[in-house]
Amino acid sequence: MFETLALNAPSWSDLRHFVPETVLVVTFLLALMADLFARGRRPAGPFALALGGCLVALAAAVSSLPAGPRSILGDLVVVDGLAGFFRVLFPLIGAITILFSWASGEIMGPRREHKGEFYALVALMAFGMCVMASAADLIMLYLSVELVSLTSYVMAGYMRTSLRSTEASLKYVIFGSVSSGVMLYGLSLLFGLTGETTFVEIRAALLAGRADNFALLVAMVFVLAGLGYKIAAVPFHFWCPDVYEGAPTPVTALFSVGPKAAGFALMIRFFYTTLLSPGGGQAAAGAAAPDGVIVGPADWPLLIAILSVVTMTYGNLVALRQTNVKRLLAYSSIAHVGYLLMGFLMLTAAGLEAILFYLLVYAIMNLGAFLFVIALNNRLGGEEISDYAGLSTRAPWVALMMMVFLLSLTGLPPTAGFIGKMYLFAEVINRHWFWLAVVGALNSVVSLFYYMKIAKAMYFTPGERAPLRLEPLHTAVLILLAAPTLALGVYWTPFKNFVDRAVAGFAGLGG
Amino acid sequence: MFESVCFYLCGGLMLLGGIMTVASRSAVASAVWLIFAFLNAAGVYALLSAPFLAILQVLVYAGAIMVLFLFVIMMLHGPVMNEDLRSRSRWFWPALALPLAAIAGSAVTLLGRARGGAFPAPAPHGFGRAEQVAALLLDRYLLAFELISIVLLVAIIGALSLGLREGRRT
Repeated sequence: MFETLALNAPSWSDLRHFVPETVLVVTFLLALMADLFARGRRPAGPFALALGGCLVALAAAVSSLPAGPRSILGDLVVVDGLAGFFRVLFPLIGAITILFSWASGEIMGPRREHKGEFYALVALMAFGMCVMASAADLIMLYLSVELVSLTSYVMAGYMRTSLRSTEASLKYVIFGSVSSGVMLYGLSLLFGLTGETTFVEIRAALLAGRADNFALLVAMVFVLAGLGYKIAAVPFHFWCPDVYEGAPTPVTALFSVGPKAAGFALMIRFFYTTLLSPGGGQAAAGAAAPDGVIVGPADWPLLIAILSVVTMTYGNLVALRQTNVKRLLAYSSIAHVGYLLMGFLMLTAAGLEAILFYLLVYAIMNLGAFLFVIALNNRLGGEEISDYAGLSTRAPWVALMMMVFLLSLTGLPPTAGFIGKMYLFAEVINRHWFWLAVVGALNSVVSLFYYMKIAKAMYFTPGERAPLRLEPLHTAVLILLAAPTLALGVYWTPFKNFVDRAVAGFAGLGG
Repeated sequence: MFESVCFYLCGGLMLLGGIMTVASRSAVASAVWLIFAFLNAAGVYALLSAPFLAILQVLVYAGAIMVLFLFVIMMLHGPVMNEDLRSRSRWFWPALALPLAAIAGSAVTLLGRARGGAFPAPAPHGFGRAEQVAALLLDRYLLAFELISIVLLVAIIGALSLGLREGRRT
């Protein structure tokens, strides 16, 4: 630990490879200060600053591609293909969230001082998620998770006067601190076993057979519990429906895609770097340890497979009974985590490509579905399925766009969701996990029922007939999200290439 | 031998302090139990050859932060909990026992399996002195150090944002 002290000391020049993150932090601070001077009903200054900052960070992230594997700032973060992909995704998600919050009644409506805080926090959350995606050290892992969690708690309780929002925030804090405590215990065991904090050095220590198998299993399960909470995998999901329902809808939209994707990024980097040998495809710890049963190649994938099946089945079955659309989308997001975990346990480049592609598609279509809820909440003041009765006559184009998102979430052609699921299932079948593929396919069929419940209300249930006009900004962003959902279902090669390059540059797979 | 006895003593007392912090019915008692737990944590640090950390633990946590806690509790004076919060749900003891059993079980198993190995690796020469903490904090872990300041900033914003009373609430 001490001999590496002088080797990779952080230097100013390292910041050249850390531009998007730096931009986001500066944006957060500037927006926070601008908020002090904001006047009027809507804080234009913080809004413009935060949106501009996210877009600059996005541009910086795109221009830094391809991000060659580079360990910077005292080996605490790694900038590689995986980090490069996610730091394009997170500022984009941040920018979209900021954009549609501007016209949201839940965020801008209530009498509240310092509304600009919201925009500053979105920028900060984007920063935290970028750090999660590039963390290469146990300390950075914990700190970045904590940063994103703390920001989430504040945002979930944004509507101070609403009982539901306050309850959501409190529940989130309690579940969050318990799970981060469990994770911290796992991390400290891992440090005790290996004496290292950097992922790469932990792998070296495990390869040298320095760790007890059982202790390693306990440590890894604890870390998995902490990260499983972040991505809301069953059985660590209890907070998810209540928080999603209680938080303001724009915040829910952000939660349902951002921290989930960041959790996956961190899980991929942590588990692939520490438990896979540099050659890829073989679990290293099992080969090196004397009795390779517990941490061996056979067990981890099976454990994750069980987690995946339970997660998707539970999410889909409970979603069937929901009448509140936010709750329904919460359970559907749990189910999607189950699908994504299928790609995670393949331990192949193709599996990772499928995950990243699906995360990209999922971000677009899920933000779209939530934006629909936000836009209609502004007009109808509710988010029950029955509120959407007769929407196809009141706002035909909006109903049509929601239809596109719903089809895509189900995974039907010709939408992006179909292509994403196709890649996931193709890899599962290629690796001969037939039972997993069958369960996944059955689950997709179940999900069709509840997504179509919304469609049925919009198209076949008679309701009011007066035409409904949405905020122009909401319509514009809806089109911005619906267009790629359709376009990616027909022509996805450039995006697939983008994802493939990201995985090829992932340091953990020996790239 | 003497060291291990001290270690388990401090560890056990710290655990007791933690449990009593959660289980105490009055806020002041909770805070005092927390100070007790912090002091024992300082003892554990000292035994793990980290004297500087032990001193900081006493000065900053047991000293400054907890005094602040006590001041706040006294300023809010009187019973801050309302009655229905004071009565424990019948799940209290199972909820306390289950994680404790899980942690104790795994700890005992781990200790049993670490037979004479290098599980608690011997500390390198000069470990835990102030210079070394400073060198790590301001050199190798500089980014983490900076990140903590942002985490704390968010915590402050969160406390203010959630705790502020609405100015002109109707």
